[in-house]
Amino acid sequence: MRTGRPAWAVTAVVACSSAATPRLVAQVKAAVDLGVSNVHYDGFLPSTAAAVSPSFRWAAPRTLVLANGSYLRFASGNRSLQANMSGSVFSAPLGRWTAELTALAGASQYRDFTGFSHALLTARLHFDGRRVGAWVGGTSGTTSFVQAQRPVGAFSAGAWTRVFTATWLANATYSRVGDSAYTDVEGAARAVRGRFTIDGSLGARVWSRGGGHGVYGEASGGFAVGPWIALVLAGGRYPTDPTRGSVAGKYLTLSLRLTALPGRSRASLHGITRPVIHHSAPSSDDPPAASAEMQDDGGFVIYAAEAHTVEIEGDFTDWQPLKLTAGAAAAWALPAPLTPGTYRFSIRIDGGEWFVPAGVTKVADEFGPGMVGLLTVP
Amino acid sequence: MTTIHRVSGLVLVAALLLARAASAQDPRLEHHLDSTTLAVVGALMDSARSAGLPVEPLVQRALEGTAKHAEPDRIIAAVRRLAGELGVARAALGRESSPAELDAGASALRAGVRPEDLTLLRQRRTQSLTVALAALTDLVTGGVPPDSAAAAVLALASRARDDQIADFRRAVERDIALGATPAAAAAVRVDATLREVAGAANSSNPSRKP
Repeated sequence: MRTGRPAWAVTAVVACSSAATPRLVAQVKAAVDLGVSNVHYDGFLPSTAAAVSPSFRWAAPRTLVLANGSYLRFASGNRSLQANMSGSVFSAPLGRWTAELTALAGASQYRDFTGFSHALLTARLHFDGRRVGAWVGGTSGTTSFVQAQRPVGAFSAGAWTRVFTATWLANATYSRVGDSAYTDVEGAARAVRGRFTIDGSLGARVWSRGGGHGVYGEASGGFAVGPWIALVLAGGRYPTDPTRGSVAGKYLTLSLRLTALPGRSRASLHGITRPVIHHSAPSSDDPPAASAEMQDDGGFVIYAAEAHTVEIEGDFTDWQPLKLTAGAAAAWALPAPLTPGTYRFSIRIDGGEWFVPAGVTKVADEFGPGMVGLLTVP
Repeated sequence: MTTIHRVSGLVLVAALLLARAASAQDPRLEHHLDSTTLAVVGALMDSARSAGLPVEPLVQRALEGTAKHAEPDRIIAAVRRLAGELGVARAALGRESSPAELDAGASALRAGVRPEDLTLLRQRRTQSLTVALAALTDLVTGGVPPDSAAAAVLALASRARDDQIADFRRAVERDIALGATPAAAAAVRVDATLREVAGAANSSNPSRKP
């Protein structure tokens, strides 16, 4: 489960306010969200979940520390835990320019295994006008899945403007996590009017290699019931995040936010509560024209309905065509089990083109434009 | 020494080299390769044998080339490349590796897996690596980024059985065929397999409650 607006939006707003109106004394703010969510991760059935999400914010002149966590308990009894902490320092303004350095670390765990963790360092340069601003920045760090680490790198550029009571942001981010890479384009807006606060964002993963594509958006509305209490309704769809080990899902959350807010008269409404875990995808079998199956005893069977002859050639036939014997249920079998090893092979049906049946690994054919099957016998 | 003597000496050395190469030839190759290609492939096999690498995959690669009517240069290049990959696989997996593991390791390297990941796999898994390496190759050829594939297989390496790794590979393949992104499919299925390894109920149902 993740709590909070997209990091870029949070930091941009904070940076702008920090640079424009430096605080003279430190401010501490703590809150906890108690909520109920309906979540629908890609590949899972929809589920309800109870959520507890504490957050902490400490702000001093040119320094900002944020921490948040979440505990999510699903109707199935499974649990999800997540925690993040970041610290930012801002340089003294040089004209309208400010530099920011942020360190962020986080970890998540679903049930009792498969933990993700990440540590990132971000540098940004902000331009802060009265009603408009912009920033560019880069992120470097690492993320680990179980024990395997992957480098993380990102480059982002964005701009914001204030129109009446709303702040509008837009940014583009190129991210690289290991050898996955993707580009997100996002826009967001935030408006405050009296006791009401509305946040919204809309984005798209416009290019991706291993990170998925799609359009996503989230919205939240908050109503400050009193100095310490607010009601927050949030929902939407968010994309896969390879750094934090979460994948796309939809959610709708209603939560009660209890805030310890010294020196302020209203409960904080900043932040969207978003339940996130690692996900699944549905599965079923596509019917191939021919499929192969490795059997436990080393036997190898090709299933080819309506075939009159099935031939195979490979490392186990010295690459000489071998006619297979037809069995029951359109199953064509090798005459003897294979010994342990890795074998390359192809098949053909009724004297046609050689090809690789479904169900086995396909690798590039070194001697032609096609593919060759790779069969492993343990 | 006269010119005739020098030429005779060179001819003798060349003949000895060819004879040495010919001694490494596999009889299955003799009817399919021309003499020059046969000599070069034989020399590559001899080098592999001397280095303690399996030779049968080299023979089969050459036979595959002839079956597909490949040019001699292409056959030689394929055999040479495979010999190199078997050597890198042996260096990464260790000298105690079985021929099947080396063959599977060479395929993984060809697919784009890093030698360091093969070494990590050897360190984490006490059983044979053949199935794990095959799964790794399959994930990468299926579109899973090599480091994501390596992370997934390494996560399973210490606890999952061969059949569980094979099931994991098939599940990822199905998910990809259905439109899931390869990296996400691998991440999801490694979760499910780890749950199965941990003995969780209903772990084989992909459409489950979170």
